[in-house]
Amino acid sequence: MNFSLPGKTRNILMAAAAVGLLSLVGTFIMDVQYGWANLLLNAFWFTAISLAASFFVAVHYVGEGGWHVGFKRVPEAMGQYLPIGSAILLLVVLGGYFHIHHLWHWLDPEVQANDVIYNTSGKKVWLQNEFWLIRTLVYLGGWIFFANKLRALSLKEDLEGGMSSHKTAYKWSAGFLVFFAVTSSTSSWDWLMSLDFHWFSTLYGWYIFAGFFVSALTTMLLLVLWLKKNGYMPHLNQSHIHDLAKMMFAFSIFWTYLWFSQYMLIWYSNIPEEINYFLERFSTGYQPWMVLMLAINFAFPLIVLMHRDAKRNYTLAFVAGIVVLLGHFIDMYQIIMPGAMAKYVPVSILSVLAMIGFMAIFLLATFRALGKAALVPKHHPFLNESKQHHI
Amino acid sequence: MSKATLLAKFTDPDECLHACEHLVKKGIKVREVYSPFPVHGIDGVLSVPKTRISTAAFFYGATGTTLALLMMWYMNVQDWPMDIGGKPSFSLLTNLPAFVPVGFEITVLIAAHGMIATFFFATRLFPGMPAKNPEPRSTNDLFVVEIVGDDNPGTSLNDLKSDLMNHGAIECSDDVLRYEDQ
Repeated sequence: MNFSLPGKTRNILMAAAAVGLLSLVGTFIMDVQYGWANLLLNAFWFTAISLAASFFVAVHYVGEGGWHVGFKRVPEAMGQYLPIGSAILLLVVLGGYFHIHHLWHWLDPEVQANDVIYNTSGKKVWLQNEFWLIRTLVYLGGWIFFANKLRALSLKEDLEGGMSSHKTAYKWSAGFLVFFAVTSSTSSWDWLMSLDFHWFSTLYGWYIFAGFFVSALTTMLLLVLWLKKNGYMPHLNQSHIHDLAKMMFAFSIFWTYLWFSQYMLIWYSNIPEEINYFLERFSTGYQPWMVLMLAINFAFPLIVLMHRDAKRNYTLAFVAGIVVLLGHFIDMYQIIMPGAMAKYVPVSILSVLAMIGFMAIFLLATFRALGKAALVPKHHPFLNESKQHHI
Repeated sequence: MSKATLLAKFTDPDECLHACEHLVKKGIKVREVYSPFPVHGIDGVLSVPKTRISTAAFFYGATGTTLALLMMWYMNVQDWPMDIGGKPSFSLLTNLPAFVPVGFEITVLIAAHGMIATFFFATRLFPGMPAKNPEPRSTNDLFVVEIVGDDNPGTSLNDLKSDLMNHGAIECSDDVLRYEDQ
């Protein structure tokens, strides 16, 4: 059975995208810097969600996982947003490179000439304008290449059958994982950590990864539940939903573990150059947002999703998924805004609407890719295993 | 001593599960299934009541958290006030991040040990207890379904034998050889 997007849903998404883009323009009118910061937030977050979906597919190839095959086309389709997201992200990066904005204020030649930390800490070696731009191109290009490779092999398998596409995909996935392991970390330094370039944290890459991986798993769960509600994917049973919700729960806790590990070490040692990052967030107007974000991303899943029945209840899982996504939006907000704006800017309605607009664009791209191929891979060797999935 | 008991032995967990499904559908009451490892879904088939160990685990965990915080409060705030990381607030709440790792570990410790103790107690598993499995190989490679005649009045266990053999049993025996009788 092939997927086709109902016209009504398409119109709603188109409208949301339009409102979102208008809101983005609104943030530019509020403050040009704020507009760029919002663009960076959405560009990074949805690109990362799309990337993490491809990572999910690759992990299951390498781990020889079979349970996900029934909905494998969903993360695959999510990965097809990658070129669009990358183009927007590249726009922000080029904006910085050509000094149209200075979200990353170390790009400013004046800062580079006079900043003591920049010149004495060894950061100068890594944070060079040209090197930084080349790295960006390598990350984005590499990710798009691997995501498309896995997608193409999966579509080839539909036509040809046999094991050869699967085995090739296995090898490319292994390569992708190695590339991802390095670039997911370094890209988070380049695009997010260097917003506060006086500061550094060795755990940062993992923390960012955990955040966008939860977001991707949650998006996947929401999409699968939505498809199921609309009569697609009857072969998916409660066990699939339970497992997806379990991953959403588990990686929420994993995210908390990394957030807290980073926080506690810095809080404990209390070194001025490190603690500054958290003072910016906990001793300013951002404090209530930080508390809210921690409550949503940790306490909420812990209390609501701990129970087995909660993860098997489709309505509850859907609502919980939306709340978790909002929590991670606030997380992205507090990652980017204090450094990029250098002052307190509360989460605004325009910012939320812009995010919803980007999500609509993301969903339109995903649904478009989803409609292009059979909703269930025809000849995947683990297809039957997925249909029999039972926990 | 007329405890007529039928032991149907399987080598495959899925066949054992499906045979149990078949028996339950026929209205036969299965007394117990012995298996070398947990068979997924068998508790649903045999209508085993839902375990309450998760509720117990929650309370053990809460006990652990409380004990840990109490201990650290006494040690580092009350008895010997500790200046933690250059923050001499001497308060449990403001210095909470420092107490989280230990609090977490003791929560896990008490919850895990409490669960194991509860499980052993509920299943009467203590050191030196005689084994209850009627077929020693059920700890190795056999899945054994036990059907007791008293549970199923009006059913001939002999008739069940061929039925079970058709559902993948490799052997059906009715001689119960419990460890305590050996």
